Amino acid sequence: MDIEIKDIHKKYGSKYVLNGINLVVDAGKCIGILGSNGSGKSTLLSILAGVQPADDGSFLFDGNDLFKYSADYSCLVGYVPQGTPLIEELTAYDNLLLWYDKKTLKKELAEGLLKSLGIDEFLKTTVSKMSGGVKKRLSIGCAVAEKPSVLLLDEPMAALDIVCKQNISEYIKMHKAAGGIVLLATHDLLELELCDEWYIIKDGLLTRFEYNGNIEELVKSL
Amino acid sequence: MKKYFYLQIKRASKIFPLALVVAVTLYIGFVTILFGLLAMFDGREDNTRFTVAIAGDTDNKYISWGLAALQMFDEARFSIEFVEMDEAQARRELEKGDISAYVVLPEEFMEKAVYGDIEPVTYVTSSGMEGIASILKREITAFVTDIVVYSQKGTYGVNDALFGNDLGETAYRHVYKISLEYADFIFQRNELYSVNELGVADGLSTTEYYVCVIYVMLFVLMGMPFAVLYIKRDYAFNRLLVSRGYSCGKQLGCEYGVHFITMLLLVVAIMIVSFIVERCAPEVLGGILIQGWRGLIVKFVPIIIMISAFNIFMFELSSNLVSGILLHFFVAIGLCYVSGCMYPIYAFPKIIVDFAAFLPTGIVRSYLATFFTFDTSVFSFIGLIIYAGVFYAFALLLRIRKIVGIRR
Repeated sequence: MDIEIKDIHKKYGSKYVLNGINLVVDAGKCIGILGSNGSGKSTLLSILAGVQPADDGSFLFDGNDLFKYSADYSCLVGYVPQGTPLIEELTAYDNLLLWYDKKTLKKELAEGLLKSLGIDEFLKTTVSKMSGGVKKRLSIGCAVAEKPSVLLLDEPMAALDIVCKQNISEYIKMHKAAGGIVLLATHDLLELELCDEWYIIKDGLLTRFEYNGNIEELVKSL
Repeated sequence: MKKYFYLQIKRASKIFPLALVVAVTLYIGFVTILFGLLAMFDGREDNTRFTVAIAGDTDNKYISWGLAALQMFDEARFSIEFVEMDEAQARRELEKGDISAYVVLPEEFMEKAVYGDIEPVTYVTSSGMEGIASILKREITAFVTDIVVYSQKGTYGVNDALFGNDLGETAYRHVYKISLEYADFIFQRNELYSVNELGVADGLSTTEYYVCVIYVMLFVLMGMPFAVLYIKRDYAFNRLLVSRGYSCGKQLGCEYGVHFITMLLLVVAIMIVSFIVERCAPEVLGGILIQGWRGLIVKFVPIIIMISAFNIFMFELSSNLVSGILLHFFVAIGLCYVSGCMYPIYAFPKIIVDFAAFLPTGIVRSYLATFFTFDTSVFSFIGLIIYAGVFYAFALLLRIRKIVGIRR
């Protein structure tokens, strides 16, 4: 199982934000996508998630272009956008009910993914009363309801405490170990450590970067 | 989509009690203002100068003298200006709002009046000018009384003249006869006029007009508490929904559907309160809030369809709760003001009146007016549906723009 992003273009007005993005990712890999604010990281992930269309290009999953088969998105691609993709006035359980059927939800909470994310402890808590870390874990729990192979995470650890970051790191490692693919748009150093390969988006192009822990070199490249 | 719809209902149910309190409070507040307005209506018009046309048989020279006297000497000149014109012109002027009322003098009114033969004067006013009726009644009564008083003086003058010329025996008989006729004339003088009302504001009486505008204002304001649910700072959830196959159209459709249902429930609650108000104070509004409003909820449906779309559009327009609520409030109040919800529409210049007829609130007011006039015109109904479609389409465009126009 692998994915291939081929020649994706996207422009806002007359400016190309993505000007021919190409990337091949093998199973079990986590890819870090870096870039300054406004460089196009979130746009790339939202296009891959099917939220907005690309002007040109394709997204191949095992050779099949997902842009042409949008019905397959929901089961193959899990997407956690920036912000809180949850209904604030409702409880964690209500939010999960939108994505899981009752039987599966019960099973996942007892021994599955949701148990490993620690969501079972906050089921009756209203989202608006949750901490940022719990919200993020719940967001991931919602995004992976159909056990997608590809996980698109847009700054998943932004503004979280160390414990929450650790929880999410553990989950990403688990997903990789199960043969899943993770694309991570990030600014966070801990997230960088999780990645197997690093790419920088600059001037609409994606270039590979060898991250060796040298922050100064990374900053210069952005 | 069933799950999303169900969760939207659950969300709305959390805000519904607050929305209900707001709607009922607004309603009671508006009805109280209506009571006050109706109670003080006459007094306020006492200080206004009105133009009244005199039509019909005005050829008699005594009528002309009388009008000239009223214009120049009588106290009425401070409150009423009399102008002569024919009845057709008077009616046109009244419909345009250029005059406040007109009086039609029947054929040979003066000649018959002199002999005590009473022919009622027809008095025609617009619905919004009920107060002038009492002023005019007072002025006409005073006018006739003056005629009678001075005529009596003339009678006694005749009496003196007859006695002074050695005709005392015949004087007694003649003066007695004249006095009886005048007594008869005075006792009947409250039959000198009859009052007809010509509807101007969509053919409604003042009370009916204000009942309509109460509902217009209530409808555009009562959905505001739902801003808490629908104004979003963060579209992450909606982006997640799109990525899982719930398109913007499906999302907005569910939200609109739920908002429509909650608005309809609020209207049902308002009708119950309305019924209670009617029962508590039937003498004040004369059963107008409920009377003749059979099948009212069904009739309200087109309005709720439009107002729900308007609300959804206003919510979608904002990304901050406070500024969103303020924007909604001022747009709603502005629309209500221009549509004649705070002052009768005929108080505005003609261009505003014409413009207001095409505003959403103006159309709602016209549609509500048909409940009273039983007008079968479909103009306002079609207007409501068109506005609903336009508001919904704009809301959808904004939603797509916000979800797709993502930060890079």
